[in-house]
Amino acid sequence: MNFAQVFKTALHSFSSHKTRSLLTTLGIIIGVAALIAVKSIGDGAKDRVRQQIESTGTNFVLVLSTDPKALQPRNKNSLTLPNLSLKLNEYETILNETPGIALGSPGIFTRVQLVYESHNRIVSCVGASEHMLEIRNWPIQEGISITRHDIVGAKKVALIGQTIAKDLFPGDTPIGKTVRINKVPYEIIGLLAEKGRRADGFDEDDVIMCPYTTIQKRMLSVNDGLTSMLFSLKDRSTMSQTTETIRSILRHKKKLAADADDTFTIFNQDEIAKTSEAATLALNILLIIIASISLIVGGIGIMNIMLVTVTERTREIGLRMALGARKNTILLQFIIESIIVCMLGGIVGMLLGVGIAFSVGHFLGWNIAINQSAVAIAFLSSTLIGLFFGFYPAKKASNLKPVEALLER
Amino acid sequence: MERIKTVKLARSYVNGDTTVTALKSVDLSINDGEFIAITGTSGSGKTTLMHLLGCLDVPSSGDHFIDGVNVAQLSDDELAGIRNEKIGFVFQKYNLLPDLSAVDNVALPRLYKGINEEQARSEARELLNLVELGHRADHHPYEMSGGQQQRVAIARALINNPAIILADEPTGNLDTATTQAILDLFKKLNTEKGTTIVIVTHEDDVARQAKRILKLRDGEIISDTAVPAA
Repeated sequence: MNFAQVFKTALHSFSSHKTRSLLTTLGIIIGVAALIAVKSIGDGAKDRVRQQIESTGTNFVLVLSTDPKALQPRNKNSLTLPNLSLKLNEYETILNETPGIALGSPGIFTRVQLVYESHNRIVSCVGASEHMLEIRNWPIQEGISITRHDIVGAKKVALIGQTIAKDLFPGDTPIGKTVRINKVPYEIIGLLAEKGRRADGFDEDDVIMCPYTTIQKRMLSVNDGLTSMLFSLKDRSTMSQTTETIRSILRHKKKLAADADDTFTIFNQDEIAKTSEAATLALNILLIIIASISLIVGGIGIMNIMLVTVTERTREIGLRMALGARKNTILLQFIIESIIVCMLGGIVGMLLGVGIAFSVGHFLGWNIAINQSAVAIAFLSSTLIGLFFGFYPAKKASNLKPVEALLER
Repeated sequence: MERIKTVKLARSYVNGDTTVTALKSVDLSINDGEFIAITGTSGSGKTTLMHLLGCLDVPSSGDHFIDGVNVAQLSDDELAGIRNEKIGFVFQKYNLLPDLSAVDNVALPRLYKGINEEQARSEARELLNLVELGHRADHHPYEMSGGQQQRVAIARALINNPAIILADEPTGNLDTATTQAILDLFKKLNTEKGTTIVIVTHEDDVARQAKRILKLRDGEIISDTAVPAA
């Protein structure tokens, strides 16, 4: 009996037990679908994160106040406790003494109560200078930005993000409207362009932006103190060098001892990109491990059913031996059957995985490209699983003694 | 010409610390064109002898020659080749593969011999004509009566033109009329084609239609008689 005939025999026996074959291969289907969907969605996520990092601004350095001793006593008007250990004079020194810096903006991040007509909610409020939007590469869609004049006078003006605009002023322009922030009336002067969600899920369009002086004086009732500083660079290639300069200026200004830890954290875009890539990689590895485990479990399912099949078909095996089938012919028949089951599962799983990946991509609005190497690996591994987990049952079948197999009831 | 010869053929089974001897010491010679019935009560050893003659089992001791080759010395795969080419089996329960049509069932031993499918199928159709089932060639076993299934099995036993056909209770599942039809088919093959046929049966009516009757009891041949022509 040649290979094609053995293959045909195996295929025939497979197709005469369609339901069982499908159930047998369910583990493989799920494993392959998971592998392909996870890899493709993971790639989509990585792509998305990269886009977001790019859109955050092409080159900037962010300094965050992280001094554990600097937590402010709760202010009666403030809903959170912003960490205000960074000072304005430190900001100005950095801006003046660091050669590579192009623009800078102080930053204060806090949470405020926003009231407009029947709307009443807590939102994030960002204090900024007139340069913040330029550094962050974030255009104004309608109205005007914060001006130097607003900052000097700590004016009660605000820019709002798209999410808030849609919420408060559906179908209407927000420009010129008056909202109450912590019970004080503010005029909306500008509508920010859509920014989207950050990689951590934070909706960047769900914010109010005010002059940083306004937040200090009117919302937090402090004279000084920043939660962050943002600087753009003249040349992106000087990023790590500039980061070090900023660090040494800050340490000097804060009179930190040589062995003391920083009381601030500096992020630059390269680091953010690296961090998020590492996180994505770790996530990817984790998901691939899970998908691989389900493939192995699927393989064990195949072995289990194949062993049952061999027991069930002992008489058939005995008969085939009586008619002249050699051990290897029986071995081959059962291995091929197992491979066919797994390969079919691989194909169904592949279609399912591609479908899931595209559905998720469509739902989240991501660009999903099917990872071709994942498809190849999934198909190859399902075939190998068929071979590996089919071998033992097939070996068992081929080692049956003809007379014992034939007498089996 | 001597087709099959056994010398002191014996088979015993070890079960724990007890040894059961199913076949004691059988000396037997079967010539070309013979039609033999092996009879005996249940436990007489006739099925064990049949399995040994069919190379489905290996003897504990003794020699077994088919066409002069001592098959007691052969490997599993060599025995598979002997079963394929020299022996045609007919079983009580027909043992057709339910997923295959009649013609594919008959062609199967041909495929194991390495003959291509097209040729095997056309030979199978000829044999189905011979057993008067040409019109049912493409039907599956479950669409046929017991007698028809047994005739398909006989066609399958014939396809590699074996030295001998071994039939184990071939009429055990059939009614009287069908039994006679199957026996007539065996007689026809024996007289017209000269096929050597060995039937194992416990029914005297069936055994009497052979040309020679071997009677077994307790693993030994107790009588070997020629049946006078009717």
